[in-house]
Amino acid sequence: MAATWLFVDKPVASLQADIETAGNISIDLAPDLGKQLQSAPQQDGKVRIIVFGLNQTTFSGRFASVDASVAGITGVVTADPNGGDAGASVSKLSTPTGLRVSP
Amino acid sequence: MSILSSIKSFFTGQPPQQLSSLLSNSALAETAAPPPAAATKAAATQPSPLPIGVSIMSDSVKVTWNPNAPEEGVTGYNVYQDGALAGNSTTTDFTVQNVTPGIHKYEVAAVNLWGEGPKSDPVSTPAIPSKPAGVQIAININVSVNS
Repeated sequence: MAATWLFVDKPVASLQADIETAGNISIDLAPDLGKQLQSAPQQDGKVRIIVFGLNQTTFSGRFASVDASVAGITGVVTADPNGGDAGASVSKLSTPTGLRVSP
Repeated sequence: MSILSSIKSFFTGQPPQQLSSLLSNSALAETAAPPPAAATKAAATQPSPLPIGVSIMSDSVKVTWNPNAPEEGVTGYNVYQDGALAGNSTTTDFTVQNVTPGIHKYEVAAVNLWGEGPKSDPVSTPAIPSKPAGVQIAININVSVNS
C-alpha cells in the first residue's frame, strides 16, 4: 500500500505543518517515543498537524506516517526547546511505485 | 603420423591422440547431420569429459521502478531481496547478482538526506530454476580415407 513518511531535518521541540493529503496521518513512535500528534482538517482540504515532543527535549528525522500520497507540505513552523524558531524544514518520502523484476 | 591422424587433427585442431575424447553419444551428436555415404564410422572409444561449460541460466535479476517526485529530494534507493538489503542505486534500476534458485521477493525504498522512506509493495520473481550441473558438449567427427 502506498505510504508517505514525514521527516524533520533538525532537532525541534515542536512543529506545525499543513499536509495536503487524502490519507490518515499518524505519529511515528520509533525512534522518538515522546511525541504527540494533533491534527485538524482545514477548509482548503489540507490537514494541519502539530507535533509536540513530550518526554524529551527534541526530536528529529522521521516523525509521522501518512497512509496515502502527500501532494504538498506548506506552512511549516518549528520551535526549539526555548520556544524560538528552529528553522527546520519538513520533507517527505513516498513509496516507490511501478516495481518490476526481470530475470 | 598417419594420414588419417593428420586429417583428424586438421578437423579438430587437437593432437591426434586426443581425438578419441571428442567421440561421444551426446545429444548434440544425435542431432548432427548424418555422415556421407562414403564415410564409415570410426572406432568409438570411451569418451572423456571436455572442459566446456555452457551457462544457459541467468543468476541475476534486474529490478526497475518509477522515480519519486523531485521535491522529495531523493538521493538514492535501497533494494531489498527477501527483506535483506541487496544494494542501492542512484538510478531507477538495480541488478541483483548471484541470485540463488527459487522465488524471491523484492522491495525498494527511497532515501533522502534525512532517512529511508517506506518500502514499495513487494514483487516476486518467477522461480529461477537450478543450473544444470556438468553440461558438456561432445563433437562427433567421423572421417574415412579411401586409399
